[in-house]
Amino acid sequence: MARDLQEQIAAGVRDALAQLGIALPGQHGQATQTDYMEFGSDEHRRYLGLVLVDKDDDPTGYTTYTSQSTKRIYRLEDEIGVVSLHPGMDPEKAAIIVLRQKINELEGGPPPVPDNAPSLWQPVDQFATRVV
Amino acid sequence: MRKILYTLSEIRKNQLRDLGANDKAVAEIGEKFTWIDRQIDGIGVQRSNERLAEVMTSADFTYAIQEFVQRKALPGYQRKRFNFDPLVMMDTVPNFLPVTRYQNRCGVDDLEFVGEKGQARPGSVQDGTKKQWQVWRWEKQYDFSYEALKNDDIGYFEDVASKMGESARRTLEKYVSRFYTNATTIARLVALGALYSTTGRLTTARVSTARMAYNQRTDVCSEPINAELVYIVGHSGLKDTAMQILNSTQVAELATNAVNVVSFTWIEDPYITGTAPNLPWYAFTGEQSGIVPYVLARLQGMPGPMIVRKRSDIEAVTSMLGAGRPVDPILGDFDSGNVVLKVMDVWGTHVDGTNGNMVDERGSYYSSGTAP
Repeated sequence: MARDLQEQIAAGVRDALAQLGIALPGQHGQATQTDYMEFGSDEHRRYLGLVLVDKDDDPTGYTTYTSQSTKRIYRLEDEIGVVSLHPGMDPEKAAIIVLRQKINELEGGPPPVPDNAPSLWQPVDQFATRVV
Repeated sequence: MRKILYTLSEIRKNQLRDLGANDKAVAEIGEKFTWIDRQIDGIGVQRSNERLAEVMTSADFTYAIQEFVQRKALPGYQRKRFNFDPLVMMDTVPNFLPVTRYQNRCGVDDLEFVGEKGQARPGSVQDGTKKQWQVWRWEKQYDFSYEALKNDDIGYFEDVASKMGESARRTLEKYVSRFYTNATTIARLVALGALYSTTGRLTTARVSTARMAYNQRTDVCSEPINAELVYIVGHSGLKDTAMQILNSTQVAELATNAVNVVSFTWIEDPYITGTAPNLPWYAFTGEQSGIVPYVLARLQGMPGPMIVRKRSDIEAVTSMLGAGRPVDPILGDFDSGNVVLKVMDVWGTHVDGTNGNMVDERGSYYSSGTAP
């Protein structure tokens, strides 16, 4: 809770400074990080090598996969890569598996922090505390 | 039974003697009873002069033979090790105070075209990135009574010292594992976006995606850096998957004749928790990149754990005022006879409320392993 609040405040300050044209140097975080890529974004989709097939597009000749959750149709941007990486195999079989994996990642959202993840060890809980 | 037959034999002999039987008839009585006795025991006549003999079996010795006591200590379990050493930068610190390290995480400016008689514009050098870490003491002590050590006739305590050393290593392994499994570190990697974390289970395609993420790592000035995926660290349940991906000449999960070009070094972390099939895994870079993902700091002069024993405060004397001489350490201390051992080590790392234990987030990639 406190961390969330802290991050929200920090993000607000960063945004306010950015509106004034003041960029914080050396920051590597969500707001100012140059390589930040939002989960599920178009940038993320392109990074995974997925192409969204619109209703006007003709996907003939491509292997496509329809997302179970969003019903969006995707194809691989580079099927040749898949085929050249896996020579001698059925291209459709390779493409469909890789497509499904990538779509699951794209639409899966941010990975959850496991419920059983231990807290960050701090020396304040030092005495008689096992490292688990 | 034998005594009864013998008694009957003697009674019959006496009866015959009372009746005035000759010696030959009396002698025949003995042979006849001997025959009866052998028939009862199932023993045939071996020799004509064989005598009545006692036949002893284990059943005749309930206490002396049938009770057997052997006490023996069996070797303990072999522990699964976590070879974390390539994942952390080892650093040595002089004392228990925080040390400061600075890293230049940026180059200098690109060159610019300068026209004839033109003067170059001034360049700039970025400030260093400041990180701090320190070490703390990690110890455990064990008290044994004089009686317990003396009564140990099977050497049960003989390997306690080596077990204490093992526990120090195990604790350190858990400590390092917690660098990247703690909630703060994971939350930070998730907040950094899709180039730092994902949801996919460990597959060939996902390793390639993680490798591509590393290929896009940049320094503070947004210039590409030589970050490369070198290590995949995962839950023990992923060992077979990793081995299959690595060792297959074909792409493992596709079960075809595709050539497998994926390479990495697999490191099993037995302390990562997870429930199959949602098993988390991590991708880390190697030291060739200059990225310091995590640091393990140790105290100067203490490169590993130490096992120490409290010196006995007893001395043997022959007179109250005479000189004393040392006694066997097993006698323990003067007050209670306690023998006290302690295993101690000193280590530490970078602890940051936002970044977790990451010295540089560019060296880590996390997957929750939840998406099929």
